[in-house]
This record gives sequence, structure tokens and C-alpha cells, in this order.
Amino acid sequence: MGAVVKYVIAGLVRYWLIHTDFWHTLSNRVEIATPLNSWKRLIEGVYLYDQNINPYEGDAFHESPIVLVIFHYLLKHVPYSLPFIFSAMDLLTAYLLYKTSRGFVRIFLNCQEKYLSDVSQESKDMVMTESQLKETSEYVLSVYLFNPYSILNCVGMTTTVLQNMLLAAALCGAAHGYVIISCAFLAFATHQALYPVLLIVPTAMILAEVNKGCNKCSYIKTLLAFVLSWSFVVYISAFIMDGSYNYVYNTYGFILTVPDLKPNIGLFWYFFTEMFEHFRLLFVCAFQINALILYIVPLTLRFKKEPILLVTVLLALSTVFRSYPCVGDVGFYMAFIPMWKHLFTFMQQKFIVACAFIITSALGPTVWHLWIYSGSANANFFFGVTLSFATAQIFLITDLLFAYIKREYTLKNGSSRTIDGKPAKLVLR
Amino acid sequence: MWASASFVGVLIIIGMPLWWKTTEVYRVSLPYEKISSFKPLSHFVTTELKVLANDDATASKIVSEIQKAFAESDIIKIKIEKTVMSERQQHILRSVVDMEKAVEELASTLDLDQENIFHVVQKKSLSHNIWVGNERIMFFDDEKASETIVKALDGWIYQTSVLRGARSDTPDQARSTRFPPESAYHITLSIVHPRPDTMQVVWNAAEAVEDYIGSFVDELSSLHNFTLKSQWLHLLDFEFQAREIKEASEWGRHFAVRQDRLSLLLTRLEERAATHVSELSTINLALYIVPCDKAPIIIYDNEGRKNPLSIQAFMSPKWGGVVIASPPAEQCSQQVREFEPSVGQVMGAFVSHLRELLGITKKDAIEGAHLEPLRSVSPRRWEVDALLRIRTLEQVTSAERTLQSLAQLLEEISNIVINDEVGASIAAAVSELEAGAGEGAGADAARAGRAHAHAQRAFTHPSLLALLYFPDDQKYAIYIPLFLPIMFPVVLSLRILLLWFMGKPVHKEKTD
Repeated sequence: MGAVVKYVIAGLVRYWLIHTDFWHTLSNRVEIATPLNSWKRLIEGVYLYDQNINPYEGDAFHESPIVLVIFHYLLKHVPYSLPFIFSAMDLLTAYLLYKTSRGFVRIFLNCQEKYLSDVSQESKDMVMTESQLKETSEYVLSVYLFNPYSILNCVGMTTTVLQNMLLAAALCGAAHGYVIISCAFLAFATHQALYPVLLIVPTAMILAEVNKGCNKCSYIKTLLAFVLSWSFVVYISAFIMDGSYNYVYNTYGFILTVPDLKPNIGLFWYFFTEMFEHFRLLFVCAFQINALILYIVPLTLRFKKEPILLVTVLLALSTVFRSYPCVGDVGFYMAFIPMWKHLFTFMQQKFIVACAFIITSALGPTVWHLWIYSGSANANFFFGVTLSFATAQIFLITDLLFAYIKREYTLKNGSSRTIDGKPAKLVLR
Repeated sequence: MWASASFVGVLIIIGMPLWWKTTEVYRVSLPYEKISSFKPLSHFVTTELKVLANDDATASKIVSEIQKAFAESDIIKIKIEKTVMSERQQHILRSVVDMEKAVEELASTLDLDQENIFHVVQKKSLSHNIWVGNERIMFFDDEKASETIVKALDGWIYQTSVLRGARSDTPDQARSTRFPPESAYHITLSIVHPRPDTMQVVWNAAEAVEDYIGSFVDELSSLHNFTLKSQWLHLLDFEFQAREIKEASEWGRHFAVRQDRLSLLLTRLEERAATHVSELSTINLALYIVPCDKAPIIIYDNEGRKNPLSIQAFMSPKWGGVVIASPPAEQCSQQVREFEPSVGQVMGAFVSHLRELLGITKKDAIEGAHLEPLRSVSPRRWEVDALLRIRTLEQVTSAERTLQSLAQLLEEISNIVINDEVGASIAAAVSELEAGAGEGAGADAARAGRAHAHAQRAFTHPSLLALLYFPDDQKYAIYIPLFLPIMFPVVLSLRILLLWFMGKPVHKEKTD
């Protein structure tokens, strides 16, 4: 009963906000709409496609051809129910996240059973019970439904709504052990924005965990399913565009080479406005390696026993370091934080992070107004606030990781921090 | 542990080659050894000389004298051919007294239009030792004139001192005056009329330019292309700061302008003369019409001596020439003033400026030698030959020097981009120089011109400067703000990683 009320209220809030005057402002704000996902560019692309002009020839449209065709159909046949459709997608995402967290809870409990023997005597009461974990799914649902970031994302009618839905579906499939579904949805999500490809690693691990059997064959199955679905999706897109693969330059190429330096809540635009031509390639490569390749191997090696943590952390890291982030991405990974409720006691920087989030979210639009409309500030102000926002997110991530390690250690060795009777300190290695 | 190791591994294995590859400076390979083996001071020009005399003894004596004089010359190699004149030629020379006519008659038997071949012909009973006219022929009296012949060949025909100046490191006076070698020039005749309301000037500039300058530069068409332009500059006034000097003449006075004031006139002209319309050099010829109340102007040199000529003109090296025309007194006393400068005098002054500016130097007087004065605007044939030789030598040596300094620069400064265009220009210049002016061969004119053009294009190509402001230490200023914070924990953990790899226990800590 309570859940239905939440859905209805959240849906109404989103639906109502889309129909107010705020919609216009919100759909144009740089924090919400980036050149990749903005509503304006979407209808521009659809219009060009309608007029039989290739929307990928200019710099207007950067979505995948599949999204183009879907929205072309929607805009042609049901243009007036689009607000309803977007709100419905968001509610569906919330539902999928709820189911995902339920599946993850099951995995938690199974894992705990497996390693119960490792737990030291004095930490036995730290072990989680089913009732404790049941609540987390409710919290996940509430967080996603009422998170201002997700609400703004939906009201702005950006395609990140679609992307969040695809990601939630992929994770839901993985949590319940359906290889084909999760790989297919993950392939769709990767096709839209390149960064979800990172999630293939934790997804493979989760699938191997859920589907008991030989791990290696599970990994190979997952990888195969993902590669096949991805190739299929790419091929279908080329088919839509009359057999040419030129759309790749405007979708993947755009994400990787970052030609558009419109300000957003990311870190790329500021660096590349002041970059010399000669060094541009090096820095683009360096930034993209940072976002895509650098953290996956070390994190996987360190947290191979906890793929769900890997999912959370990789989602968060890819949001912070991607080329065109928006608040929708932030809202999505924040929905996973309540799942780590049991780590909150070990986290030391909750207050700072929360304050930083609130302050930078309020300060960002303020300095933007000062910069663009009043002319009394400049890009450095806005970038400073954005940088603080990114720093707050990184603090959150590292705090989470550190808390996990502390809990792991405490479970194994009890809460006294002594080695051979002498006091010791925990270090994150 | 493996996590940190993999982090460091990714950074080093992917990062270092990436950094190296993406920030290399694009440099095409150049023929440095060939360029450094150039010897600009070793080049010379070749020419042919034909000696015709009445008998073999005279001819041999003259030839041996000339050979002796030019034997050690490293700047010009003369191939001398001696012939005894035929009966018909001797008859023509005996019977025709007028020199011009003699040349004309002789032209049918000798080929005087071939470039770079000069003829030394004996003609008895000359009033001087030798006579030189407009064509490629010199008449000498007898073998006693051999010394004069050598002097004339050295000073007038071959101009060895100017050739040496063209080849040397430091420019001599002739090289400082003439325009640097180029394939084309613009010649702009500007008539400067400061007060058009007070006087009307009758002057057909286009016609004057076409007739006089046009016929002059037609002769030089094998050397350079010329674009002739003319313009009127009204209301361009210049304060000469002239001192009024009373005298007994139709004006009753004249205005004395000091020589050092004249260069400021050029500055004033440059403001409006639109000399920067094209990339090519412009030779500026300006005719300044003095208004009635400031007329007549006479230029005084720095020692206070008056310029006695009827035409007041001066030339500026590598810029052009100015003629200052003052209207006559009776014109100025009338109601409607009209001034028509004498076209012949003004254009004559301009042509003499143009000769110097293009490289035809003044000929000093040689005792016993008669140089027929110029009767028309066209230059003498052998002067054009000499100019061709001078320009060839200048272009070859300049191209070699340019390439050498460019190669030295490119070797020293390692972050100058050498793109394909520059590389191709340098390679083309080197190949032209090798083919046209190799060891022991005289310089070839066409190849010299092409080599010079290629070398100049490579040297002044703007793409060379693209990365000049990124010496290596500044590159680090770009990397460090970004990469140092990332490398900081990596470097710190390297020690621990090394210890772990070597198998020693790291610390007495319980780590997971």
C-alpha cells in the first residue's frame, strides 16, 4: 500500500512539473541537459530524420539511431502523451531498481552464509538479518522516486531517463540470473552512452554468482551474449541509417573525442577550453582512460567477492569522470547507496559529503546566473563549484569503499584494533 | 596488492607510450649532409667571348692578355674563341665610319642576339682605344689596347666587383641598392599633388608608365615579371622645412631642402602609396608636384652644395625614386594655373633610378675607353647579360645560405614542426642546386631562380612556428598540473610494491 502511494505521488510530481512553466527552464539547464541527452536536440534530430535529412551530418544530434526511430514514432503518433511516457519510464525504473535491490539482498544473504565461518566471535551481532535487509529495498525505491536529481532529470525530459531504465533492467536481469536479458539491455545502454560497458565485469560476476555452476562458462556465456547483442544493436542502427556506419562518428566518436565544450557538471569542458591543439589528443586519451580503463582492473581485483559494491562504485566513478555527465546519472547511482545501509556506521564523512552536495547543488545555478546573465563572474566560478561537486562525489565513493573494508576487517578480526597487543591502524591498500 | 600493482601497470604500460606517441613533433627528414656540404663562396658564372682581329697575331695577343687577366678569377670563367675576320667583315669595318652603322652591318655576319656571348672586334683608326655601344660588341684599335680591353671587360662588361659582391657574405654597395632577387616586381608610379585646388597638373600617368617604363622592363622580361601601376595621390602634403633663398631668377627665390629631410618624405608617401597590396616587392616611383607658394625646390646635399641639375630627384635604395617637380613662374602668376611637367625629363630620371634599383650599376670612366651614352630607355644588351649573371650568382648563393641557416636552425631547435610542404620545398631546392650549380659547373640561371624561390618558401613558411613556443620545459608546465596529483599516490606506493614483489614482509600490519 505504502509503495503504491509513493509511486502515485512521485508520478504526479513529475507529471505536474512537466506541465508548469518550469519545464522550459529545466530542460535547458546545463546541469540537466547535455549535448548528448537534451530534449531539444532530440526533437531536432527527429525533425531532420522526418525531412529525410541525415541527422548525423551536422552537430545537432548525438543519440543512437534506435532512439531516433523510437522517438520518431512516439512524436509522430502520441506527441501529447510524452510527459506521461517519461514519468512512466521513471516509475518503471524505480520499480526495476526495487526488484534489483531485492535480488541483491538475496545475494548478500547467500554470501554471508558462505563466509559465516570467517566471522570472528565478537562481531557476530554485526551479521545482517533478513528483516534488516528487507528495508533497504524500500529505501532504494524512495530514494530514486523522491531524489531531486532524478525528478529534475525526468522533468527535463532527457534521454537519460531511457538510459536509466535500460541500466535498471540490465541490473535487474543480472540480479535474477537472466543472462540474455541483462546482456541485451546492457548492450542497448552501452549503445546509447558508451560508459555502461564498464558494468559488464560486475554483471558477469553477479550472473556467475546467481547461476550456480562453473564460473568460467558463465563468464564466457555472459561475454558472448554481450558481444553478440552489442554487434546486433550496432548493425541494426546502421540498417536504420541505410547501411552506413557514419553515425558512429556522431555517437561514439562524440563521446570519445569531446568536440563540444558546452559547460556541464563534468570536468572535461574546462580543461579542453584551455588545451593547446598539439596536446589535445594526449589529454583526450588520458581523460578517457581515466574514465573507462583505469579503475576497473584494480577495483575488480580488490573487490572480487562483492560484485554489487563494484556495480555501485563503477556507476559512480563513470558518472563523475565521464565526458558529459548530468544530474540524472548522479540520481541513478545515488539510488544504490541505501543498499549499503550497514556500512553507514563505518563511514566517517557522511556529514561533509551531504553538506557539500547540498551547497554545490544550490551554488551551481547561482554562479551560472552570475556568469552568464549578470556577467560578473566567469567560468572559473562555475567550474569551481562543479569541481567541488565532483570532489564530494569522490569522497562519497572512497568513504563507501573504506567503510566496506573496515567492516570486512571488523567482521574477521573483531572490533579491537590490536596486533599482538599493540594498537594498530587500518590502511586501505 | 595486486590492485595497486595493476593500477601502476596500467598507467605505465598504456600511459607512457600514449604520451610519447601523441606529443611527438612531426618532422620530415631532411638532407642535412647535402646542405652542410654547400659552399656558397665556390660558385662562379660562365660566359663566352669571341675575339675577332685582322690577323692571327693580334688575335692571339689579345686572347692571351685576356686569359692572363682572368686566369685567377674564381668568379667568372670565360671561354674565349679567336677568329680572324673574313674579307667581307674587314671591308665593312674599313668602309663604314659611323660606329652604329658599323655595328648594324656587322650584325648580319655575327650573331649579336645570342645571350651571354660578347664580341671583341678590331676596327682600325678608332678615336679611342676601345668603343662600346649598346650591342654586345666592343671595337678595339690594335693590340696596344689590350690593357684597356681587359679593364673594360672587368669593369663594364663582366663587372667582376659586383659579381663578387653578389656572392659575398656581406653586401656591397651595389647589392645594398638593388632590390633582392624575386620572380616579379610591381612598379608603381605615384603622382603626388598636395594642393589640387590651386593648380591643375596635366600628366598622363598611364601612358608615361607604359611608354617609358614599359619599354625598359620589356628588355628585362627574361629576368623578372613586372606589373606596372600608376596612381594619383591628392592632398598628400609634406613639410619640407625649406629655407627661402633669394636669388636672381624668374622666381626671385628658391627653397633649399636639406638632403637629410628627404627620407621623411618617403615615410609620408608610404602612408598612402598602398605598397602592401601584394606579396611582391614594389618599386615606388613618386613625382611630387610642388605647390606654387613653395616652388621652386632645390635639394642641397649635406655639405651645403646645390643640386645643379634641372631635374630635382633622389633615389632610396630598395625603395624607389622621387622626382620633385616645381612649376615654372609664369604658370603660377596666372589665374588658372596649369602645369605640365616634361615627360621626357621626369621619366628619364625615373628610368635612371630604375636601372640602379634593378641592378644595372653606373659605369666608371676608363681612360682610353669610350662608352656610347644611352640614347633610349632600353638598357644595353650586355648590361642585361651582366644583370642575368649577377642575379644567377646571387640567387644560387642566397639559396645555399638560406638552406644552410635553415638546416642549422632546424637541427638546433628540436621542437620546430617540419611539415610535408616545407620538406618538399627544401628537397626541391637542394635538387635544383645540385643539378644547376654543382661542383665545377657554372651556375644555371633558370635553376638558380627556382632554387632560390624554393629556399625562400621553405624559410618563410609560417608552419615552422607552430610549436616554437613549446620548448620542453614548457611542455612540463602543461603536464604537471594534471598528472602530478595522479602520480603522487602511485609514486608513494611504488616502494611498497617493490618490497612486495621482492617477497619481503611489508609491515607488521594486518591487511586484507
